[in-house]
Amino acid sequence: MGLYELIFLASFFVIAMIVWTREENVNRWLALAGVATLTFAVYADIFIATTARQGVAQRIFYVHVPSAWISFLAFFLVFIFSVRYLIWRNAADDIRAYSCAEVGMVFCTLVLITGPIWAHPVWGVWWTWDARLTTSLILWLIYVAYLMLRSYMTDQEQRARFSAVLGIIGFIDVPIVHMSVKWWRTLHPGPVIMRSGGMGELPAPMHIALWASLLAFTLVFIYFVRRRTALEVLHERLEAVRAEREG
Amino acid sequence: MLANLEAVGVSRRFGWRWALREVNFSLERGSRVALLGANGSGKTTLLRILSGLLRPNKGEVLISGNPVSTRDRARIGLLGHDPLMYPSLTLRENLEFFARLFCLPEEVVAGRCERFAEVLGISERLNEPINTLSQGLRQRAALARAMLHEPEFFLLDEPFAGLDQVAAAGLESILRDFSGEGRFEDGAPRSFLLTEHDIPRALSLSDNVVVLSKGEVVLRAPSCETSVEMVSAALGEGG
Amino acid sequence: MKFFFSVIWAVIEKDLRVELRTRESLLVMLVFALLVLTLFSFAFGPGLGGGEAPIQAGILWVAFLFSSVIGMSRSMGIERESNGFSAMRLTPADPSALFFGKMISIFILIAVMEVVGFMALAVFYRAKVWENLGALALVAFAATIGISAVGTLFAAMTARTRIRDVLLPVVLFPLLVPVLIAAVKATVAALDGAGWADMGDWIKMLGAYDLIFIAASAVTFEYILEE
Repeated sequence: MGLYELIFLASFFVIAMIVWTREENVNRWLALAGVATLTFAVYADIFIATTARQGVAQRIFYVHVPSAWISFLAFFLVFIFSVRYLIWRNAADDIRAYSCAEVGMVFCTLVLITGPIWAHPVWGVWWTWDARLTTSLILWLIYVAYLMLRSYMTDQEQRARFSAVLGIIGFIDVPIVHMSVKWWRTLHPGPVIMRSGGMGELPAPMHIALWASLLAFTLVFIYFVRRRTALEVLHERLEAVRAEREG
Repeated sequence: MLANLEAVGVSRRFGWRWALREVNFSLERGSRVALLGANGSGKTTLLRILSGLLRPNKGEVLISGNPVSTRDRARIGLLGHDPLMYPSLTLRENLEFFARLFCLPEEVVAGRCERFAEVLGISERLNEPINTLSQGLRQRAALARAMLHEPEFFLLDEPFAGLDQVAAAGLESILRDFSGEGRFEDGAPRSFLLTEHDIPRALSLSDNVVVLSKGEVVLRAPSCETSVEMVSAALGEGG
Repeated sequence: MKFFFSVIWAVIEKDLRVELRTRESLLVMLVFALLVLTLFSFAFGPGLGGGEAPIQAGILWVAFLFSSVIGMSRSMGIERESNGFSAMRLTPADPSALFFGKMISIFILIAVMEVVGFMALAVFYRAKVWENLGALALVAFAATIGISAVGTLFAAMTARTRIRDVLLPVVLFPLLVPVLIAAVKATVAALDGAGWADMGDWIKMLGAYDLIFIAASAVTFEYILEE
């Protein structure tokens, strides 16, 4: 069993632990695990892995790819929580969807920043209308619309309902956007990973580095979302108390 | 089984303010209830929840003991502050549009619209656009829209608002004899819940009175045993 | 089921009546579409004309999208001003029937605007519209279904927010990217007189988009109607 399968299994173990642990200090464990994997990932990224062809610029790939993965994961979670909200009308699901969208927005922005930084030395241009990057841009715009829609509404119940609808429709749209953009223009040398051969094309050390980064980003994302959710719950409680005192 | 429209433990908040807290209320078939309360006491919110326009944050609305389904909406009629009609269309066009939305068979639509226009004395206005009607006529037009599908439960939110003396007297006589002489096709008794600021009028039009204050029910009594002072006291209780 | 269609028809009839009486939507849409078409010709210079199908198609669909947004927000503005959605919500009418009614009436508005837009394109840009009428009609039909399905849902939604008309394009345009891409590509193929081989995939994509979003919007419209 190779090292990266080990990390793969470990990530499942950690995620399972998070799902099943309902204790208060889960956040602490999460933070700890996140920092540990992040440290390892940074180490791996710096000392192990780069392709000769792309040189040092390639290293940003360990930020770019996990960020892209997280932004899709986040939007998927927004979708799940939106569906749950519309079925059960539990305000907690709305808060979760909102937190995922907000944190996802951060990672999606990171994709759009690191993409050009990677593209410039490699392809000589800051921006290409490549399918993945363009899809990320559209995804980002849908996130922006989602957050804007929320910020211009006051009644929580209505806001939750409307943004859930946008969260669902937006998510359904993403694959179609991706497909249409891909057909529209496939210009540049396709990204190195996740082509038909999957990870097989990368040299082994890069697997480790990439998987470590993916795991680290996932843990950090879950940690952020949990903290953001807790913050939003506190905020709501504060507002409720304030409204109570004003009568 | 008793037919009634009922709110069970209904709470609703707007922003951070609770407009209704744990309200229990039942409108029995054939009964006439007046809902009183100061501005902002939650009267309109309760009506909107009972009509299905708003969803409560907690609690539920039941009709004959079951949750209100889409189909059951035909059993409820709401007269709100707003006439809920398209101002550029004529009264007839509006009524016919809503009759179709209420899934009335095509052959009864025209007859229904004319009958209720007749009942409410607005027959000669049928072909005039809503935005040319006066406030009082608009109110009657809105009542015609609410009665069109002959619901069992009427929810009337300040039906007298903006009416002059004559129009108010006309509406009062309609409400006094609400389900009388062939007004509704099946002749069954109709019930209504009415909100009103004029306490004596509310007491005289209803069998039972419910007083809301700050989103909670503070008084429930038969109207004949209730005096204006009792209601005022209950209204004042909440501050 | 019988009532399902009579509700759809009632909504369409009502919308067309309101439009005939007030003339609030269509005229503005037409003028706006023509304006965008003219502005592009100023922006690109007077030399533009004939043989530039990609540019013509791009201009056309951008004009159509902007003009459609105006039509949708007006159509929903009428509902907002008279609280039409509340009135509809009080009835036992199926929310998806109400959705289809609004969607079809918005579709009709956009379609009329597009007919004039195509004529303007033929005149201003010397596009080969007449020669390829059938293919263009097919493209426009498929794309407009998608635009009006998603547009109806979100116009109804943003009409009930604080900054309504400003928010609609921000929400709608990212979602309509596939429609724009496919419509432009298929229009280019149609204007060039290319056959189904070049257009087919894009039409299929539009068809898929239409089906998916008609279904998704019809199901979720109910949540927009609630107050």
